[in-house]
Amino acid sequence: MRLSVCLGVLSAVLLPTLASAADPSKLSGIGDSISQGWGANNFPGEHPELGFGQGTDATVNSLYLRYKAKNAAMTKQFVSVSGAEMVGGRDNAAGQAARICAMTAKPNRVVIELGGNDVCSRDKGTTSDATANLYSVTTYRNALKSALDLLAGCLPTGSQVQVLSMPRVDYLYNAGNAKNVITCNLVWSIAGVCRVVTGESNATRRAAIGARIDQYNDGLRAEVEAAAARYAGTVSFITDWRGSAVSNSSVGTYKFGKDDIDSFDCFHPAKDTGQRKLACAAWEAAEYGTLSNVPACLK
Amino acid sequence: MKTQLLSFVVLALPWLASCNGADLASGATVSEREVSALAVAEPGAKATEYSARSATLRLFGTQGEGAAAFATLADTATWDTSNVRVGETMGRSLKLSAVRESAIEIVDTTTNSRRTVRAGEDLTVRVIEHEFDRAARETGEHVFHISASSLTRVASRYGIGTTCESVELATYTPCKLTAVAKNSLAARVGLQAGDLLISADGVTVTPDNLGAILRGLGESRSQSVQLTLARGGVFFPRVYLVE
Repeated sequence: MRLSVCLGVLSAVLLPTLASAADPSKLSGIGDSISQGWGANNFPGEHPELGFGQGTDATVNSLYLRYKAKNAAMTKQFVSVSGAEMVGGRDNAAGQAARICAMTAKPNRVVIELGGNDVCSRDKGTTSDATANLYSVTTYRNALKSALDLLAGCLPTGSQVQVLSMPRVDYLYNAGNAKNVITCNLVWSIAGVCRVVTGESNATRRAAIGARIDQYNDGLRAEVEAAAARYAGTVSFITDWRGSAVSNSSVGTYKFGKDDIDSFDCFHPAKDTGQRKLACAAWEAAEYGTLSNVPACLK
Repeated sequence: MKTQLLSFVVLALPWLASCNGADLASGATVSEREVSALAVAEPGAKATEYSARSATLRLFGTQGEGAAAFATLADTATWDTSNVRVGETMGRSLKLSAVRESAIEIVDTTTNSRRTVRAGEDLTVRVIEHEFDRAARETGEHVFHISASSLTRVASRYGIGTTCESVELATYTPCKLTAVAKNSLAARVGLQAGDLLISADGVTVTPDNLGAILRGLGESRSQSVQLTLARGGVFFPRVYLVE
């Protein structure tokens, strides 16, 4: 009894000093409208409190809340921007990474969720090739590599960067059609939601776009593994992607259902379902989780 | 052999010059001789309306075939990334002359020098821009910095460049841009065909007031204008900060 009391006192004194720089203390996020919780409560607009990464809503049980349960002093500062791409524009992965590097207090956990707009913001392909206007896998990989190199160069030693695979937008299209084929197609047409897929009536051509997304995710994993090797001992890089063979084994293979998406634009994860599942999958694919639990998250 | 040597010297000159400390990318002023050799000159513009800056461009990659092929280039200072097709320019003097698998060729029309860049590689260049090219600069997170006086001149020369029609979207009645003319004021402030304009500083955008709202960006009556728009289904506020 006396020994355990002594050990308890000793732990209380020593533990704060033993806390490693690698222990999670601040979470940042690079992402798009999904990270911003766009439409997650069925109202148009950003709802970051409902985002899978930075959310504070108990139903979503975001990555931030899960880290905070481990460390009450955990903070967050996301730089995600609705409409952002991995590759293009001013808010791409490297642009957002540069904003993280400019922070006075650097995070030591970063989650990256991008890719949907890289497909959805492209023009429709040619008659012979639905993917003609999509970025090449090389382009996608080099854009991600630039961001990972920036983060590796500025994050504290012991930091961890998680790169989530990108969702299959053709699965979101299927989910919308299952939800309400008339209203979803109407809003997609008026608002111009991912027309490269939602305006494509040929299932084979939509599948070709989905296959390109699988290739992006294969490239994403290759870049993550290369960065992990390049920066071993300083910053770790992880991803949930384990290939396209098994459905629901990662965010990129998850077949969104009608209840997973919002009812305004039929294309964004809803808070109680899609966002909550993403949060669970991201958590299980990271340091405190178990990768084999990801499919259970996505049920 | 002589021809080969001459070709090497001509092609290597820019690189040799940069190795010699004469940084090709430096020099903010633009000469009349350079203006006369620009790939895309602004009609009637004097040399003083142009400026040059150094930029390091990274080729992320190439895609597509034939006339549809395009290159994706990032400016590593800002990570602003653009898709460029053969024949199109970066600034006024750099023309994309060829797109190959994972490589491109760029011509600087003021020096007639050609440079080849491979995917993942960086290239330092001198970019010449006209005042109109900098009339509205996107700095990320849906923020644009605009020069009111430059935008007024853009509008005077190229017009507003767009119209819109009201559409119904749930409880909203946004104004959908039908087309956006190249070089116009609408194009300069980053608007695209299909954008749904919802409001400007709280005022609903309609086909009747669109022109006045966009022209107002060049009249700098306030320090900032917030335009709420939807693109690709996502609504977001865009802020124009007037300089």
